[in-house]
Amino acid sequence: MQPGKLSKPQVIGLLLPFVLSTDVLMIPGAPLELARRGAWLSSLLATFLGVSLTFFVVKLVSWQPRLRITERFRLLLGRGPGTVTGLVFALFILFSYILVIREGSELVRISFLPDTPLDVVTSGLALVSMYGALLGMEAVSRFNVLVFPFFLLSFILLFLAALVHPEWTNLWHPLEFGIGPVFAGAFAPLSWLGELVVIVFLIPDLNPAAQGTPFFLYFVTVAAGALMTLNIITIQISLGWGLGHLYTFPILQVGRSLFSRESLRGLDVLIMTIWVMGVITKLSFLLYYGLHEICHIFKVENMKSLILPGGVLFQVLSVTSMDSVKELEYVMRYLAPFLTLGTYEGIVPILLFPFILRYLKKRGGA
Amino acid sequence: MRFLRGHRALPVILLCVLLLIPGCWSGHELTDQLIVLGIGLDKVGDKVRLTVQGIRPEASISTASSPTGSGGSDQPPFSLLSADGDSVQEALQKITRRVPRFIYGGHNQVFFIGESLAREGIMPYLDLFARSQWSQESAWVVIARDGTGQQLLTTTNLVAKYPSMGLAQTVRAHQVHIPTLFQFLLHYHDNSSCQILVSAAAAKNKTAPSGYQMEQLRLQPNAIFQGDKLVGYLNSSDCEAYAWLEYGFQGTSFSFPVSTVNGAPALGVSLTGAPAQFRVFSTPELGVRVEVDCNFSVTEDIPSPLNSPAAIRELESKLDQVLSQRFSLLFAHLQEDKTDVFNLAEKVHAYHLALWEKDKDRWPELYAKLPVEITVNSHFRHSGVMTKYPGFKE
Repeated sequence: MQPGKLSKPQVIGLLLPFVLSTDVLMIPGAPLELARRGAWLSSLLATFLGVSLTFFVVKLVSWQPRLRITERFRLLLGRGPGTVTGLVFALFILFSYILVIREGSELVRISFLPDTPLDVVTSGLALVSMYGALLGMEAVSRFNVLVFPFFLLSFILLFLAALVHPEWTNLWHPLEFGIGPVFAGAFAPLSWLGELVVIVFLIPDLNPAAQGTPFFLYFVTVAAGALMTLNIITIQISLGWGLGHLYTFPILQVGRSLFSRESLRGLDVLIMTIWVMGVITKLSFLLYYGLHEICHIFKVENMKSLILPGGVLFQVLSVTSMDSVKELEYVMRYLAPFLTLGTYEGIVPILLFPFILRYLKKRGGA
Repeated sequence: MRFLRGHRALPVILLCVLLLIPGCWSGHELTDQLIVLGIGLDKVGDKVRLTVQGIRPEASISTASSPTGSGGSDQPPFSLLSADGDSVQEALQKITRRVPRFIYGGHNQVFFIGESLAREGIMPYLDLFARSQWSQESAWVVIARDGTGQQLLTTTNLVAKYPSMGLAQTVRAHQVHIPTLFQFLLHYHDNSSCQILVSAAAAKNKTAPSGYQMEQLRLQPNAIFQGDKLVGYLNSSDCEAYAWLEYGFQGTSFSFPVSTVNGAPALGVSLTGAPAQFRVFSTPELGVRVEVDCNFSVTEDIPSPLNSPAAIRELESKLDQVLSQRFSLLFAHLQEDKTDVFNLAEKVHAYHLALWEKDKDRWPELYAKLPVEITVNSHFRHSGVMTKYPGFKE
C-alpha cells in the first residue's frame, strides 16, 4: 500500500459504518411509522433503489480517478457551474456533519448522560472528530480497522438475541396498507444510504490499483442495505411497529430490553459505545473532506488551520440550529431526505450522467 | 516532541479531551445516593401516591440474624419515602426535596401498583418510568390485590428483607414469570391489547408455629388487563391453567384423582413441557386449536402399579382429560369476559388477513364465540428411582 493512500478493504471498512452509524439509530423510526409492518420491505426497497443510485455514482467516479471533486465537475460542466456544484457537495457534507454530531450527541445524552449539558457532549464528539480530521483519513481508517469488526458483530449479536422470543408475525402483510406507505417509508433509509456518494471525495485518496474499478461500491450498497434491513427486522420482531416507532432510537431500546437482566445487564452500553465510535469515524470523514474541498475551491493552502474554527462553528450550529430532539428527528427523517436526494445524492448524479457520456465520447473521439 | 511540530492545535485539543475523559457530568458518590429497590403507586382521592423503597445499608448489617428480620432494632432494613401529587413527577419532586440524597432508580426491581389505580388505568402513571434513562423497563409490574402498593413494600421476612429482592429470589428459585414494564408495553400494543399481570397479596403462613409465621408475598398471574385497566382476576384454578399454557410446565407439581370414587387417593405427577401452540383455522368457520404437549413423571403413586403399557396409556389419557377440562374452563371464563389474553387477534391478523379486515372492529364479540379445540398429549416418562409404589407388596 502506498503511504497516504487507502486500500479497497479500508475504504469498504470506512463506508459501511459511515452509512450505518446514522441509518440504524434514528432513521428506522420513519419506515416504522409510515410503512408499519412493511418497514422491512421499505428497507429492502431502499436498498434496491440505492443500488440504482450507486450506478450513477460509479459512472461519476470511474473516469479520471485522481481528480478532486470540483475539478471533476469543472471538466464536465465548465469552470463556473463546476465550482458551484463542487461547493454544493462540500456544503452538503458539512450539513450532514452538523446533523450527525447532534444525533450522536443526543444518543449519548438521552440514553447515558442525561444530566450532562448537550454542549459538553457535542464538544466531546467535535473534538475527537477534529483530531481525526487533523490526522487525516489514513489514520482514521487505521483506527476504523480496529472498531469495524465489532461494529458488524453488534448487528449480529442484537439479531441473535432477538431470536430468543421473536414475533415473526410482526413482519407479515407488509403491503397491508398498500404500496404507497412502503415507498414513503423507503425515502429516509434511501437518503442515508445514498450518502455513499461521498466516494467522489474519497476516490483520489484510494490506492491507484483500486481507483479504476469502483465496483466494490455495489457491494457496499448491498451490504449496508442488508445490515440496515437486518436492523429493522430485529426491531420489528422484538418491539413490533406499534411500540418500535415510539422510541427515538428503537434499536437502542431493543438492546436494553434484551440485555436488561442478570449477567447480560449493561451490554447495550457496550454496543452503543461501538456505534458512537462509528459516528466519530463518520464525523472525521465529513469534516476532513468538507473542509478539504472548500480549501481547494477557495485556494486555501493550509487546510489544517481551518479544522479548529470549522469544527467549533459546526458544533455551535449543531446545538443552536435545532431546539429539541423532536426537531432533529423531523429533520433527519423527513426534511434532510428531500434535500439530499433532491440534490447531491440523487438528482445531481443523475443529471450529470449525460454530461459524463458526452465527456467520455469527446475524449474517445479526441 | 517532534510530532507536535506543525500541529499547534494538537496540545490544546488533547488537553480538552483529557478534561472530558475523567468522568461524567453531575456524578453522584455512592454515599450520596438513595438506591431505590421498589416503587409503590397508589390512588388516594384524586391524587397519586408515590412510595419509594430505598436501601439502608447500615440497617442491613445490624439486622442480619433475626427470624423476623428486625433483629435487635425495631427499624426495618429499608427506608420508605412517600408523597402525594397530581402527577408522579410532582410526587417524586416532593420526595426529592425531603431527602438529602440523590434518588437513584437504576436498580429499581418492581412497581407495586395499588388496585384502585390499576382499575383506573396505569399507563399515565408508568409514563415517567417508561421514558426514564434508568432502564426501568426491566422492572416488574405487580398489582396489589385488594390493597395498596405501599403495603406490599413493607412486607419483610427472614429470607427476604426487601420485598423487591425477595421477588427476585422467588423468580430465580421457582422460575416464576412476572411481566416487566417492557412486556406490559409490548402487550399493550398487541392487536388484542389484553394481558395478564401478576398480582400479589401479603399473607402469613398460618400453619407454621407461632413466631415463625413469616409474612410473604403470594404471587399469582391472575390480574386481567384490557388496555391499561385492570378488569378482574382469574380464579386460582384458571390462573394455574393460564400459566401452564403461556409459560409451559416447568417441573410443575399436579395432583388429580384417578378414580371417580369419593375419597379415592390422588396421583401426584411432575409435568414438563413447552408453552402451548395456538393455531387459528378458518374452515368451516373461524376457530382456534390449542395444542399442549407435555411429559410427566409420577411423584406420588397410588397402590396400583403402572405395570403394563395399557395402564400407562390409560393414565396418560386420564391426565389429558383432566388438563383439557382445566383449559376449557379457562377459555370459557376468558371468552365470557371477552379478554383475549393469548392475543389470538394477532394470529387471525397474521394468518387470515381478509377475515381480520372484515371483523377487526367487532373482534371482542367474535372472540367470545370463537370455537376452541383443546388437544393435550401427555407422555409418561418415569416414576423416580422406584418403579412401583413403595408400599407395594405381592
